[in-house]
Amino acid sequence: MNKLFRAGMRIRWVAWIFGFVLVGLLCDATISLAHRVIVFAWVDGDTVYVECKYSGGRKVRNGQIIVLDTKGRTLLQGKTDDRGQFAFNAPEKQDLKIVLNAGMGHRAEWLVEGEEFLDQGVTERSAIPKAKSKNGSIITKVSSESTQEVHAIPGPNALEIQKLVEQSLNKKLAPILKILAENEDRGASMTDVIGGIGYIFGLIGVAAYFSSRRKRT
Amino acid sequence: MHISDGVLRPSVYIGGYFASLGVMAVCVSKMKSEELPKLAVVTSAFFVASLIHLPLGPTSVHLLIIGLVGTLLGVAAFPAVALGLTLQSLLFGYGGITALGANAITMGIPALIAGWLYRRLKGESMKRNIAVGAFVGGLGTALAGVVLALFLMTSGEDFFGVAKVALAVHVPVLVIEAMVTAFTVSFLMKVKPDLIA
Repeated sequence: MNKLFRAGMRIRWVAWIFGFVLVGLLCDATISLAHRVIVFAWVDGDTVYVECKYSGGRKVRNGQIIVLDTKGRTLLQGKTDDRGQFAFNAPEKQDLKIVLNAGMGHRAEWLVEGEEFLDQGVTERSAIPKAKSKNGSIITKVSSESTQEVHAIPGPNALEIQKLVEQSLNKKLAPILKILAENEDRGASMTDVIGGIGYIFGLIGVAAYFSSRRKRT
Repeated sequence: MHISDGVLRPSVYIGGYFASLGVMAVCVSKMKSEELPKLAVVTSAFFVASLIHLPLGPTSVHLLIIGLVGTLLGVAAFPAVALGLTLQSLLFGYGGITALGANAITMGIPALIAGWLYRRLKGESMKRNIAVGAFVGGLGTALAGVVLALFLMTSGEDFFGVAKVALAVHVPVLVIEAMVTAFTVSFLMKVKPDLIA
């Protein structure tokens, strides 16, 4: 009995020391973790917005973001803020690979396609010749007025309209993009859980069947 | 504790696969076929426990119940963990497919150690077994953090840095798992003591 008591005391001591060490470690831990991280990025003009979170829905704070080009060269690096967000000006308007490294072996990737930039670039560029051709037709009609003035007014206007439309579209689309970002987290559903349990019982059932057959023979 | 795809070097994750297959073969050869129903139940519990998130402090972690799996299954703990992890990876997206072998080692070996220690330290009295259960229940998760740090060291991360953080953020998990294991041991000792013999 005495021996048992002493053994019990020893275990209790080990547990206490263990506990103290761990609480001490907790005090200077800053990085959080879970089991799956999700990174989502979208383009607004020249800026790329990145949002990072864990599968539980918590934001990735202080997660390392690496932006790579298609050849795997590192273009820039950064860290996410308290809301798990990070934004940067695209250094090149091409495919960008955004890698999130949240520590503890948690890593996720997102590809920003070059087209997302090009759409905006092309329309802006194509807007200029269109405006000019419009000017041309206007100029031929209003020949009495100074051509320079006419040329000056509708040209920038068309561009401005284009820009305003894009701006308001961006503004309107921002919440939708946010919702998309939120929904990127395809958490485990009830079907997954029940399916998984079914697999476990099924596979072990098969194992039991074969082991019982081996025993009989 | 689940390592994602693209984190480990190919040589490391392929090595992880071979190592876990080797351990698996040894464990399966030592298993008894009467243990299979218990294996199914405990594997299911391990599979589902990963969905229980603990929103404590600044972190989001989930239960692992490695120590409990080891305590209940002993040598069969490794196949249980490997099967559970495979399904977690396929269905929940926790951990990468390539890193599956490494993940099985990360969590399976601590489960085996916890199971071995429980069988080594347990006694006849209820109190002692509950204390041992709590100890190995917490130890499983703590050891997994250390093995994880070893794996990540191969991709250039600092061993002590990773180990420290992995242990620190899992303190709530550790405490809860110690309690869960202690409770399970005390319950089974009363109801069906031969299950944890």
